[in-house]
Amino acid sequence: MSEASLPSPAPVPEPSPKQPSGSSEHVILPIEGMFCAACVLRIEKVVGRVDGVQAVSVNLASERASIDFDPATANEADLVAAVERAGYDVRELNIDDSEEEALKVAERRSLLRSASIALVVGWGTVLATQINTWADLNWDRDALFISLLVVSSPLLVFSGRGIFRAAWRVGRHGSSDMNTLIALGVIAAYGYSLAATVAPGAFEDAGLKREIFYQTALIIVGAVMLGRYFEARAKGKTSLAIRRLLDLRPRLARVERDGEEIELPAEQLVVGDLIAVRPGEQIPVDGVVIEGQSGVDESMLTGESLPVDKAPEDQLFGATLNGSGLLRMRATQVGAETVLARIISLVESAQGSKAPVQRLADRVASIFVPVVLIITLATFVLWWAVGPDPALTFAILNAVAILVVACPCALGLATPTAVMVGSGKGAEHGVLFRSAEALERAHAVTAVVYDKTGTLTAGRPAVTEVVTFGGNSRDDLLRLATSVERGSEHALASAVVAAAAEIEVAEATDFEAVAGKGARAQVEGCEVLVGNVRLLDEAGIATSAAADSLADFAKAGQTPILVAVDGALAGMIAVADTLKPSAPLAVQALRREGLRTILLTGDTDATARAIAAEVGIDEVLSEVLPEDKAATIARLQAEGEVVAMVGDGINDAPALAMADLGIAMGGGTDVAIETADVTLMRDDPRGALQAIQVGRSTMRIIRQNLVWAFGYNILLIPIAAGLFYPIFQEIGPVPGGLGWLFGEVGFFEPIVAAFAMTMSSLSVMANSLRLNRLKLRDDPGPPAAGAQPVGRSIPAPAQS
Amino acid sequence: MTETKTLHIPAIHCEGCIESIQRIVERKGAKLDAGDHETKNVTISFEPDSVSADELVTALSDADFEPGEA
Repeated sequence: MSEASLPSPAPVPEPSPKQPSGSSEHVILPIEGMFCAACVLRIEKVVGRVDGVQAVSVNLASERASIDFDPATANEADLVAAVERAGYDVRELNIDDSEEEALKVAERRSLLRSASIALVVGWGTVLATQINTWADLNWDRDALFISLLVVSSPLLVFSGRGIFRAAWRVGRHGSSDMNTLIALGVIAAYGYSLAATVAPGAFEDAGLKREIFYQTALIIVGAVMLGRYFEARAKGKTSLAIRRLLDLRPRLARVERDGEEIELPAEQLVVGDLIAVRPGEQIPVDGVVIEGQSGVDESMLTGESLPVDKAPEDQLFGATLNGSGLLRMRATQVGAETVLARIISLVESAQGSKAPVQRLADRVASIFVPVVLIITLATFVLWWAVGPDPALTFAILNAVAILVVACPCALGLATPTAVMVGSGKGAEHGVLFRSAEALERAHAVTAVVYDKTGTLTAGRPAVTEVVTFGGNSRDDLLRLATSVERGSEHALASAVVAAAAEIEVAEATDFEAVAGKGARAQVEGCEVLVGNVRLLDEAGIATSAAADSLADFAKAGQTPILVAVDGALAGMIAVADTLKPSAPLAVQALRREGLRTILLTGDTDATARAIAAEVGIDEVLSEVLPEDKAATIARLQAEGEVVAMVGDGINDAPALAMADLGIAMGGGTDVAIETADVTLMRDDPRGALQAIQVGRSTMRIIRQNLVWAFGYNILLIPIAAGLFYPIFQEIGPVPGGLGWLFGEVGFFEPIVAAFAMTMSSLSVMANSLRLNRLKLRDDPGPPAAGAQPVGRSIPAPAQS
Repeated sequence: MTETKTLHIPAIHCEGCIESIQRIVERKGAKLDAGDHETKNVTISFEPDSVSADELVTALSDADFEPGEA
């Protein structure tokens, strides 16, 4: 029990972040009321004007402002006041999202209540009047009319208040929208009934049939509200992806402060904090491992289900789940800077953006309402003039039917709902679209250009082959080479060292690096040279025995490292960049989809062709200088291709920008997210196909939605205008089975029109939600761990 | 006597901006009668005894909602 033998705890190297270093303090304010990027800028500007504020960064997705300020000249109250001056509210910290959720639930409940009251009373009235007729009850008409007026008026106001208020709001500015149409329809039906109820004499003198349509008005309102209820429910589902992301936001972290471990809300962490993450806990912010080993489940960010092994110096991401090991980490990014926060803001802005195809729908919708009003007026005048008696009654009912059936809400929903579901679907699989436009362009892609290094290949050279001479074993050769190369900093050297990880290495002395050629050292009493042909040539060592292998290596695009021991060639080690295991699958899947695949690289032709053969890519464009990559993309575009370029987002930013669809495999780095149309969170070249798939499916759904929404209006407006009246005049009376649809003489029933309108919106929503069931092709392929070597299988050692 | 004033505010971008403006004028004791983020017009009613039109314009300008031509 000797306490003295316990190692004393290592001092924490980082300065405690709570210490005001000179004069700067950091605060995070949760903000309420932001809608768009303009809101973000406004708060940053107004808060930035406060004396003493050094830096402000506002994040729309996390609804937080992160502010650095000088405590000598400003305090938190000043900052809160500035936010309020800008027209926003500062929330209590740590309020959770359940409040917002509760509001939405309340809103839905109110819609459902409005709908059911109007529908029950409306249909009840229909039923009552039917019973009156069938059973010959001979209720007093006046009494019936007046009691219905008394019952329906407050209900219409209650259930339809949303519609009337919205119609009034736009009407005051002289414009109109779908609420205008519904409100006019309801008011027409109600006004007619009101006149029939309160002024029966004047009414019949005017040649009108003394009937009431309170039930029609109620049912129209009820159907519209029922539609809105289902729409609100479905909208909740379209934003499910973002909801899931927001729910991922970590809440608590165990932070070491002043040598003690305390629990803090994750949003109070600062860069440099040392954090302990126990097994099964969520990693609170982005950072690096400083101690411990564990498998971490990153599927929520990348879609990759296999846990990723983490050891000291490895990157950790906030919101991912620690496996079975204990990890100590240092925070490197917090708040809005974390990968999760960036994903959320990216997905949100994509979901809120407008696809070009929507402009068509918008244009149509903007002239749609006035056009419908003109058609309505024309129909009204026509049937009043030439229609069957009572002409004015039918004229009014037809006008109501048109107003109700022509509601363009399906048109308005067609594109945004599909974009929301589609981009959410992509995010679930680690495929992030920057905008709806990117989603739309993804569907049109005809050619996919892959950058090589870091995209199809791992971007790290690895030993692919070992050839030995003079009876040395493979392990011997690697052991000697590694002993020398351990001292070298060259990238190829590190590949050799990595390959010999399992082999016990000897001590090297008299190490000497020969620039551009290799290195030499004494190992186990032998003089060992490791390097290229020139190094051995200059040492006077014969390399002719290796000539065949050297030629093979060159053809396969591999770099040879020669090893000589005591003046004789002992063997060769081939080093090459290794393919990602899924690269061939990615390329094959694209080709099966009929896409042209192209490899674009600055490497030598031999290397490029070797890789191309390995993955089965169609075309190779090698030895392209980085600055010429964009021009190459432009040339492909001139050939008529719609080009997707897949790169790492760092070296090939201009090419990504030039491509119709720039796909960055950077796993959420700033550069990638800013330049690319699509960011792949997973380091897997198959993401390109997934992006194209999401784009194609989304566009297919959008087209179906638009066809349905337009088609429905084109079909039903003429019917509502009375198209079937002359037809039924020709072919005889309306068949009994169609009475519910066409009434007695062939005019469209306004009640049916209301339900048809609701159904069209709902079917568009339901069609968009089908995207949630989209299966993204994701062949499991070989296990992701460990890269596959390029080149042939290892040949038998050549004889010297 | 309630006065109303219609302002054109080019900085309006979305429905959120309208809501911000509503909060700003309400803090000053005025009311937002109408606001349209497409036309970028807002109509504000206020009691000249308690708050002047200039004060409202200043408060809006402070929040970067500088009114332009009405």
